[in-house]
Amino acid sequence: MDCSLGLPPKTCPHCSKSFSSVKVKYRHIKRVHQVAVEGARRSLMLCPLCADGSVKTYEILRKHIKKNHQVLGEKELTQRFNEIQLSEFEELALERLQLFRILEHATQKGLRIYSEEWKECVFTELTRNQLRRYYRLAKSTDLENPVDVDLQARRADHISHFILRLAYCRTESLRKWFLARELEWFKLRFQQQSSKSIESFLKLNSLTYTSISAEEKAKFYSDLSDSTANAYVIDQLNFYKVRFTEVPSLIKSRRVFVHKGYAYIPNFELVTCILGIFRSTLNEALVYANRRLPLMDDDRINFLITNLHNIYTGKDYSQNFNSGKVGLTSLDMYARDHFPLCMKYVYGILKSTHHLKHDCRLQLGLFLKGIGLTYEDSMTFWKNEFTKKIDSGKFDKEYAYNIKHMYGLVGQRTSYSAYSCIRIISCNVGVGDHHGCPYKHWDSVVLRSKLNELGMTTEAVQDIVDAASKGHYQIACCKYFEYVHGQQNKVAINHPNQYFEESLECSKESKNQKSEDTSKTVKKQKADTTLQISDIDWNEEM
Amino acid sequence: MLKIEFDQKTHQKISEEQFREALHIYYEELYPFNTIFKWLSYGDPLYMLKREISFTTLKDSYIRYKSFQNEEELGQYILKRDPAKINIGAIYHVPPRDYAVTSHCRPIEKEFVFDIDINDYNEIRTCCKETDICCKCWKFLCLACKILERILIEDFGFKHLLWVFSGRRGIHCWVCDKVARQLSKEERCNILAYINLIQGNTNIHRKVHLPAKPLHSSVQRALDIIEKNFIDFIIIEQDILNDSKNGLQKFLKLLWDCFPNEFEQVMSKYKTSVDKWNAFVTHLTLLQKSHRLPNKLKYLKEEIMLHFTYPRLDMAVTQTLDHLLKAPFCIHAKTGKSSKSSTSTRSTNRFIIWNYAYYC
Repeated sequence: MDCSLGLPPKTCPHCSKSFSSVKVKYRHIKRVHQVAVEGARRSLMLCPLCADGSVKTYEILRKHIKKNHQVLGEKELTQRFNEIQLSEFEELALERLQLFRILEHATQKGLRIYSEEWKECVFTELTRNQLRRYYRLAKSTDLENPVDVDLQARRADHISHFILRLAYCRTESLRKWFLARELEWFKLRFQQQSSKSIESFLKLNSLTYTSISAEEKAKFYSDLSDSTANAYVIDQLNFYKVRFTEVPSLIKSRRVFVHKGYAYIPNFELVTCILGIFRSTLNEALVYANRRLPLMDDDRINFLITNLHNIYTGKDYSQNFNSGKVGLTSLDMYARDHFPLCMKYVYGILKSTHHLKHDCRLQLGLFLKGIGLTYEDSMTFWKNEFTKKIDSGKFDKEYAYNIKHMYGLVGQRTSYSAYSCIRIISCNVGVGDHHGCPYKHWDSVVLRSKLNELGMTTEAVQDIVDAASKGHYQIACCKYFEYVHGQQNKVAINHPNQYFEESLECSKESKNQKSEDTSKTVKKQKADTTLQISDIDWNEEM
Repeated sequence: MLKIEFDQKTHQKISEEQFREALHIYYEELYPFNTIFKWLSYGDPLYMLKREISFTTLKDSYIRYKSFQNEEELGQYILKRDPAKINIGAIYHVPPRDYAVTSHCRPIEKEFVFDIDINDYNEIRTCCKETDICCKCWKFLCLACKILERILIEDFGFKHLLWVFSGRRGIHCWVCDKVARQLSKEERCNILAYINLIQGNTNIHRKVHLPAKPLHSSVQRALDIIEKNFIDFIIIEQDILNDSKNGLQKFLKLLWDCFPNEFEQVMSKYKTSVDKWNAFVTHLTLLQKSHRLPNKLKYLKEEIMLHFTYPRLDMAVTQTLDHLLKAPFCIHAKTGKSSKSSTSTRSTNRFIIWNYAYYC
């Protein structure tokens, strides 16, 4: 399997040998390590409609569905969902994950979502990774008259969807990520459908929409023409009146006319409506699955399900591997040399005003935790800063809890992970806030002057500001990195903590290069170690 | 009506003991438990049982996840503890007082609330600073309320709105319709995104950016409301372009991407704010006519007007279900510096001012 997407190779957990398929891996484990993977051959049963794990046999599943759902005919059920081998279970899960990674990557490359280039990029990646079934699904334009291959692909699609539901229902952020990808996948496929196919899809799901009357249209004529995005001649359009809760994304971006609780949507936006229904149904199902998950305690898949999510996130910097690496005394030095701009700026604000607002505190605090500031040091750090303005009693009362919370010592006791670039870029910044991504949340004049203050050359500043104003915030950040360290950066920056680590790495390397002249043996050793470190860092952990 | 009305000026310093006593009398004699309870239960006593009520004690610690079966229970609890603040939280799927420890309760419903604080207007108001508030800057809040009210009623069709003065520097709006109470977190965020136009942190000067296509009807109607008041309120009363307060320089920063030097030349010729504003408008139309204005700055004037007047909402309060918000009629115990604790029942006094200001 392709490691560039961050999926784990099919390696043996005992000896880290890798194999061509999961099936072979299981055979190896059984033969070489004499460990019987319990139940590797036994089939797994999950209710496909509610992910109820209490179902143990096919018989019970059938009864369960009959009793609880009454949706599918028995024959259909047998055709669609059969027994699955454990190896297939794992393979299906990983394949879908790969699909989702492809969708996500295409968007991260800066391609406009659902545009022709975006689709093209997704299709080529699908072929490159040999996801034939998904390629077929993505390309199919008609939902009726499927041939055998189509049915096979649909089966994989269905089963893997439900497996991933189990893996991604655990926490809010996982649910959010999963939901976003599922919606992208759904919309991509929906847009490929012919109008006849869409019609029958609507009929199949008993979704009916009736358009508004001519009088109503005449009454709101000017409002409709002003408020409907991408519609220039509204006379030819049919408008549908739906509750505003049904089209959240249109409301959010102010793209339709809203009156008395109803949104007036043009016919080309109907897909949003259907997406909305899909989203809310799936969201509910995920919450439900999360509640039922403890009931499904099955050793054979527990490991896969709990670890699947690590496969996508890369490093999340919540577990502190670096703990204690960074001391209080060196913090100023690190801030000067190795912090990315977003953190450097906030750090500067804290040093000069001795106060930060809540969200801002979280952004910096979790970052510091991620680079290895221990809880004790962190507390001293914040206290030292804040008490320059307020007395320590007030600090203990109002802010100490917050710091403990960051380290998961109070409240829900989850150890929070440091914010990634995506998180920082998409966060809301309000009046009086300082956090956020400088390349996105600052006016270009401000960005320019701040960069000048940092002593960058005019050419560098121009380059960075250009990238930022085009909306390539992470590229701007990479450029900043390059200009600071004067060398080509190997990977794209997608996490402030990653920036920090890369930056440390760079300074180490340049030190090594200096010592090159003095002794050759030292050089060789060090070069080896640096090579190793950079190897482990990004590809392995993901 | 008020037995214990402390005027800010005459009763600057009262001891904590005295305050507690006064608070007790206030809760005993005046606090409308009946009305509050009736409101929060919406005709269903079980509803109230699942509602989180939390308290802030006089010593500034929190008591969370309380819930009450009936009015008497709530009254007794409050009279026993004399909390400084009563906070209203969400409706949980089980009574929070029994299940909070096991962390199994999920918030399911909550009024849709908005909070507008005056200190978010600090960068634009010229009359007061920090958390102070006067009749002049109160108008910012009034205007914001009018705009918000129109959106909630006309666009979203909500009917039951409760406006409350928060006690010191802001206004809360409780939308109590059943539909509104049942909105999920995402739906709240979406509506908020629809309403909110003010975006950006301290490093973005002009906080409103409108796309260069026809104005959305909700923005247009907000502008209709603003246009009636803009000159009188912002230009004349707030006097934002006054030279002595460095007003013109601040204003030019808002135009950083649109020939600020040219505008400076044109505007600095005039003395009063009104003349300067008019000069700005005339020059802008001139630019537009000669096609020198980039298309993305088509609505520059509107953007600036919105920058000064559009509601600046506290997002966090509106977004989440489990956010606590102070109950109406609570006394705002404003502790100044720790040595001299000044307290006031400005809540009720101010409420009258607000009523007056809002309807005038």
